[in-house]
Amino acid sequence: MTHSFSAFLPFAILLPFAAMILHGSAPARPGSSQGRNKMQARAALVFQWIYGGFLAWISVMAMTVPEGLMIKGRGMLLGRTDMLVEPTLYLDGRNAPFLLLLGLCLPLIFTWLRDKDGRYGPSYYVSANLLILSLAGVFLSDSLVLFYLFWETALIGAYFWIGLHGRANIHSGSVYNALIRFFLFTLVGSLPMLVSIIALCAVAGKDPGVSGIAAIAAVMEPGQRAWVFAGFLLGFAVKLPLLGFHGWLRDTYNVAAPACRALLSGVMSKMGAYGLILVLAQGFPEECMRYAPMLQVLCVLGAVYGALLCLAQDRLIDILVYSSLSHLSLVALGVFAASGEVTTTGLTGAVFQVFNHGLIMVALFAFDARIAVGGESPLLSATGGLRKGQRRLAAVLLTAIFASCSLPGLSNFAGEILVLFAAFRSSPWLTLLASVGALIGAAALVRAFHKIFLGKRGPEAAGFTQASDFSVGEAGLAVGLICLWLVLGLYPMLFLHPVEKTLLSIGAVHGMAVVP
Amino acid sequence: MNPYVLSQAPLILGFVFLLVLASVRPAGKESLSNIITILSLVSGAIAIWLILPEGAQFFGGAIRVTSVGKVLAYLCLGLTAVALLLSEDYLDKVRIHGVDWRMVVLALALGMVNLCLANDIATLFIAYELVSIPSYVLAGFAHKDPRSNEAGMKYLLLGVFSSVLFLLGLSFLYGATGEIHLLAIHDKLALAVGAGSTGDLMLAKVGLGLIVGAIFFKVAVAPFHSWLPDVYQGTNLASLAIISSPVKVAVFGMLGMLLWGAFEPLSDLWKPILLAGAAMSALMGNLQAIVQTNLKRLVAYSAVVNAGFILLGILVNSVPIVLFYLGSYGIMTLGSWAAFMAMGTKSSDVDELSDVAGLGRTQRWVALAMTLILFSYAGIPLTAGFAAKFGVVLEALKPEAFLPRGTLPVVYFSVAMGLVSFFFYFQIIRAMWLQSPPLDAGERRGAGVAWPYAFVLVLSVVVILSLGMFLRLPGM
Repeated sequence: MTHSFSAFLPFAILLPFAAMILHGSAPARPGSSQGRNKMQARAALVFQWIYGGFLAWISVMAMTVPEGLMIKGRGMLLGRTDMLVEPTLYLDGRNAPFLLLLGLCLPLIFTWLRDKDGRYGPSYYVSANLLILSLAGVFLSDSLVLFYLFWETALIGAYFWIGLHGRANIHSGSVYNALIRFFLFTLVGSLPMLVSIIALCAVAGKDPGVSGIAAIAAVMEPGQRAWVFAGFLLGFAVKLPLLGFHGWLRDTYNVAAPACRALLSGVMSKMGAYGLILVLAQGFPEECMRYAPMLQVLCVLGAVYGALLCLAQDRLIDILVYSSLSHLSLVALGVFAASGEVTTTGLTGAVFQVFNHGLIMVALFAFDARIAVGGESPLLSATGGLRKGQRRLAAVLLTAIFASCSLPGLSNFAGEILVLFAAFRSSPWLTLLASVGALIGAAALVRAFHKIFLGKRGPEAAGFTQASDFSVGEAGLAVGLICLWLVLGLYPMLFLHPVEKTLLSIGAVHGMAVVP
Repeated sequence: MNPYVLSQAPLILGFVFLLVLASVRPAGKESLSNIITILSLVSGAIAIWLILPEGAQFFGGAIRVTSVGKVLAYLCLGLTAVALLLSEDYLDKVRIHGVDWRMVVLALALGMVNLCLANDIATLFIAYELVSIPSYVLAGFAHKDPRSNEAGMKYLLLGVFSSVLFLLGLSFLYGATGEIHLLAIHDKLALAVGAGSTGDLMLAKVGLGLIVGAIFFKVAVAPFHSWLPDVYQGTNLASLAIISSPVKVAVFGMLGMLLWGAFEPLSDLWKPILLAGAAMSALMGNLQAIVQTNLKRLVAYSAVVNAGFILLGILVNSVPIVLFYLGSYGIMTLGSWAAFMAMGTKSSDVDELSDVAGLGRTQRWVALAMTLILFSYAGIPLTAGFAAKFGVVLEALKPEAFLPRGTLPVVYFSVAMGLVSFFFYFQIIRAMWLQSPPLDAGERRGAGVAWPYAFVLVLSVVVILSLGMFLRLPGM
C-alpha cells in the first residue's frame, strides 16, 4: 500500500526539467545581456527555494511515514529485449536523507552564490538544472536502468556546466583538461557499473531494482557476484572519490563555477556514498564482509592522505578539496566497518555524515567563493586580516570550520563518533590512524582561517580585491544552518531515529542481530 | 506470373524508367528522378510484404523467403529511401548527375533485396556482386574530385579482393558438399560433423574461413578495416549515406543468416572468429579514433566499433536484438550524414572538427540533433544506441547462454572501451558547444536548413528517442 503522497515523487524530477526548458527558452528581451542574466538569476533563486522546500518537505514526510513512498511506472520492454522494466521511484528512510540534503543545499547555493553581476547566461541554469534533476533521480530511482540513466545525465549536466562556465586558472590549467579528466574518470567507473547492472538484469530476467539486488545476488555464483560487486564498487569509488580514484578532484573543483563546485562537493559526491550504502552494503553483504578489511585500509589511507595534503596547500580551496576527500573517506569507512556487524552504528554514522558533510562543504565552498570579488580563493601565504572587511562572513566561516572539525555540540561530531565506534570494533589501530587524520585536517583548516582572516593584512594581500561582507539575510541564512547543526549535534536522535529504523531493515537482510 | 519476379518488378521498372529519363531528358529536373526512385523503393518494399509468402521457394530453391529476410529487405529499402531524400540538394552541390546516380542506387537496392532472399551459392554471389559493384561506383561517383577517385579506387581494390575471397570460399564449399542450395549444404555439413569425416570438413572449414574473412573485409571489421576511413573521407556524403547504412545492414544480415543457417554445424569454428573480430574492432576502432580530427573518419572508426558489437549480437543468436541494432545503427548513421550536410555551406562540406566549432550558437537545432545522435552512438540511456548495446550485453550475460569461453571478457572489454568512444564523440560535442565559432562564420549564421536534411534529422531524432524509450515500433 503506497502512501498517497507518492504521486508527488515524479515532480522532484519534473520540476527542474521544467526549469531547464523555461531557462533555455527565455525569449531575448530588449536590453543588455547582463540584465537578462540577472533576471534569470532571480528566477533561478526563487525556483530553487521552492524546489528545495518541496524536496525537504517530501523527504521529511517520507521519513515519518512508516511505509515510505513509492511510485511505479507502467511496465515497458527495453528495446527488443524481453526484459521488463518498471520505472520505479521510491523514498523512505534509506534515501530520504540524501534528498533532504539536496533540498537544503539548493537554496543555500543559489542564495550565497547568486549571480549578482549577470555574468552567467541561460546555459548556466539549463545545465545546473539538468545536474539537479539527475541528482534527485539517482537518489529516487529504484529501477536500475533509471538509476543508470540519471547517473549518466548527471555527468552530462556537469560536463556542460563546467565546460561552458568553468574558468581556467594557473593552478589547474585549462578548463577542458580538467573537464575531460573528470569526464573520463567518471566513465571508467560508470561503464563497469553498467555491465554489472546488465548482469543483474540478465540473471533476474527483469530489472530487479535497487531494493531487489540482494535477492538476485544471493542466487548468483560467487565468482560472478564478485565481478558484479567490483563493477559497482568502481563506479562509486570514482564518484566519492576514494583514494586512488581522486585524480580528477582538485582540478575539476578549481575550474568549475563556484555554485557547480559547491553542488559537486555537497551532493554529487554523495551519489557515490548512496551507492556504497544502498547498493553495496544492502545488496552484496558477503562481498562487503570479505573485502571489508582491504577497503577499510583504503578509506583510512584516504582520510590520512587528504589530511596531510591539506597541510601542504596554499589556497583555501585546495584545503577544502582535500578536506572533502578526507571526510568522504571516513564516510566510506563507516560503510565498510559496518559489514558483518551486529549493529547499524557504522551505516547510521555514514548516512549522518553524508548529510552533515554535504551541508558543511556547501557552506565552506560558498563562503570561500565569497571572500574575493570574482570568486578566487585567497592564498594563505599572501593574505591576512580579512576579518576587518568581512565580519559576518568570517564569523560563519569559522563556525563552519568548527563544524567540519567535528567540534562536540555540532552535528558532525555525532556522525564521526559513530563511524569511529564502528571502525574501532574491527580495528583499533585503523581507528587511531583515522582519528589522527581527522585531527590533522582540522588543524589545517583552523590554521587556514587564522592566516586568512586574522593577523595584519600583509603587503601582498593586494593581489585580489576583497568582496563585501554578507548581507543580513545571507548571514541569517548561515545562522539558520548553524542552528540546524547545533540542534542535530545536541539531539542527533531527531535525525537518526527514522534513519535507523529503515537501516535496521537492511540489517535484517544481512541477518544481523539487532541491537538498538 | 512468378510472385518473386512480381516483387522485384518495382525496382527493375524504376531502373528502366530512370534509364528512359536519362536518355530523354539528360539535364532535366532532378526531383523527378528522386520521386521515381523513392516510389520504386517503397513499392518494392510493399510488394515484398504483400506478395512473397514466408517459406516459399522460387526458381528451384534459388530464392527462399524467410521472415528475417523480409524484415531485412524492408530495413534496407527503407534506409535507402531515407538516404535518397538527402540526395537531391546535395548532389546538385557536388555536381553529380542525379539520374545516373539513382540508377546505380536502384541496382544496389535490387542486390540488397536478393542478398536477403538468396538460397543458393550462385544467387548469393550474384547478389553480393550486385551490392558491391554499384557501391564502388557510388564511392567514386564525383569523378572530377581526386579524393573521390582515390576513395573509389581503394574501395574497388579492397572490394574485389573481398569478392574473390568470397567466391573462392563458396567454391570450396561446393567442393566439400557437392551442393549449391544453402539448406542442403547445412544438412551435408551436419552429416559430416556427425560422422566425423575430416576430409570434407577440412575443405568446408577453409571455405568458411575465406567467406567470413571476405565479409569481414566488406563490413570493415578490424583488423581488415583500414580502408574504411580513407573511403569515408573521400566519398561524397550522398553516396556515403548509401554505402554506410543500407549496405552494411544487408551484408550483416546475410552474415547472420549464413552463419546460423548453412554454417550452423561448424559453429565451433566461427564463434571464436566472431569473438576475435569483436575484440579487435573494440580495440583498434576505438584507439585509432583518438587522434582523428576529420569528422568522416571519426564516423568511420565508430562504424568499426559498432561492427564489433553487431558481431557480438550475431554471436548470441538473438535475431530481434541484431535487427534492432542494425535498424537503429542505420538510422543513426543517416542522421549523422544529414547533420553534416546541414552543417555544410553552399561551397564546402564540414570536414574537420574545427569546421563545426561553435555550431551550438550558429545552428542550434542542428547541433542539438547531432548531439542526440552522438549520445546514441556513445550509448547514453534513453537513446536507441543504448537500448541496442544493452540488448547485446544482456543476451551475452544471460546464464543459460551457450557461448564460447572468452565471450564475457570480450563483452566487458567492448563496453569498457566505450570509454574511448565517449572521448571522441565528445570531441565533436566539445567543438560544437564549448568552442567559439570562427570569425568568418557569417556565411553560415542564420542560414536555414534545407527541408530534406531537417526532415531526416527530425526522423532520426524521433526514431532514436522512441526506440530508446522502450517503445516497440510495429514490425521491428
